[in-house]
Amino acid sequence: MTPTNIYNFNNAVAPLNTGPMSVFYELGTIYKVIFIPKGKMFTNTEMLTPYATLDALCKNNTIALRAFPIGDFIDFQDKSTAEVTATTGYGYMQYITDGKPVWEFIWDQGGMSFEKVMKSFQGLQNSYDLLVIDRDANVILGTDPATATYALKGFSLEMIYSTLIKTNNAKEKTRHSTIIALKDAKELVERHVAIQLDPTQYPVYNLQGLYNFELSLVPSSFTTTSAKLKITTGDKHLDLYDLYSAALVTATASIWSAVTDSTGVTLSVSTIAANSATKAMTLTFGTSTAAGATVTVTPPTVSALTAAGLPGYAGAPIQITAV
Amino acid sequence: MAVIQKGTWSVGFNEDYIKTFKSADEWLKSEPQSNKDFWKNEIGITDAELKDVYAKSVGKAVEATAESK
Repeated sequence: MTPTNIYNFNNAVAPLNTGPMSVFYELGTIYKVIFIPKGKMFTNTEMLTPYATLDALCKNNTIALRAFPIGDFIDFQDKSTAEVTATTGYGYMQYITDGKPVWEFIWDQGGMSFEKVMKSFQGLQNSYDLLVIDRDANVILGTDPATATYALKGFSLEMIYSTLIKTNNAKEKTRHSTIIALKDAKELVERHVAIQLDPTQYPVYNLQGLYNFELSLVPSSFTTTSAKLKITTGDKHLDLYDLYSAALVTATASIWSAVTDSTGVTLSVSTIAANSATKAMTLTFGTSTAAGATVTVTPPTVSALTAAGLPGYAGAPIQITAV
Repeated sequence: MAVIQKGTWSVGFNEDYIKTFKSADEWLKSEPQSNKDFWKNEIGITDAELKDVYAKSVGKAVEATAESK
């Protein structure tokens, strides 16, 4: 009987030819990286329009399927580990294993607010793979999925973390850095895939993540049938009322959802009322909720927000308790 | 989306929800009293305007039927 599921461990790879290359790819400045969902592989068809494909992935309505560009980096430190070699008792040098690519990306845009964002990715190396944005060559760099149907996948990750901030010392601005370790050097060195785009049409550094659209309940304002919400950017640094209340009122209230947590019953949002005096939005619900009950209010999806005139935002649900 | 402007208020109505009711009266009967009080007393929306919202939601002109009178 022939065994199945046995891999071929033969490492006798033929050497590649060594003719001088006049046209080649060299990794340039890493300006951004993109976390993509773990295991995501881009089909050949998707890679016919790589910019549009990645842009759509960055705006996916479902957070678990979304890609997250990180940047713009202002500095870089290569912290890769050294290859491991050993010397035998007879004095022969032996190559044991590759080093690991470990990259420190330094950034300052977004400051402490973005520090919080980056911390949210810490330890999520098993949830995301990584694409690299090479600004110099306008290249999206990933690795070969090694199947005929797919053209690109992200680098496997071994570690993501953000270092403690380097505080402003009156000579240099506060600096932030994030360290990313790749799992397998071979994905970068031997199996890399570099997709170059026309920089005049598709500058890859323009790929960017969504803004956080944050809801917060005006204290004690959920009175079983209506709730007053403030709408801000992430970390509440910018009140979005003046910019977007009109668009949110004009968009259909059906793009909001509210569900009573204990019963799973959906509460229809009958109106959205914006008040310029309080700069708050009041949602009214078609049915009452018992006092003390918790309701999860989910803002419109990314695509619905875009259609409503808030392009580039993604909101997170908020739990509110009726008084 | 039916929108009513009143003073500092701008109110958008969920037409998809409202049109699930057979009539404006049925819709308004189903709404919690506190919502109706909010619309009328706090914002100043009249009964006629609410019925107009219903009509817009179902895509027909307001008809002053004997029933609504």
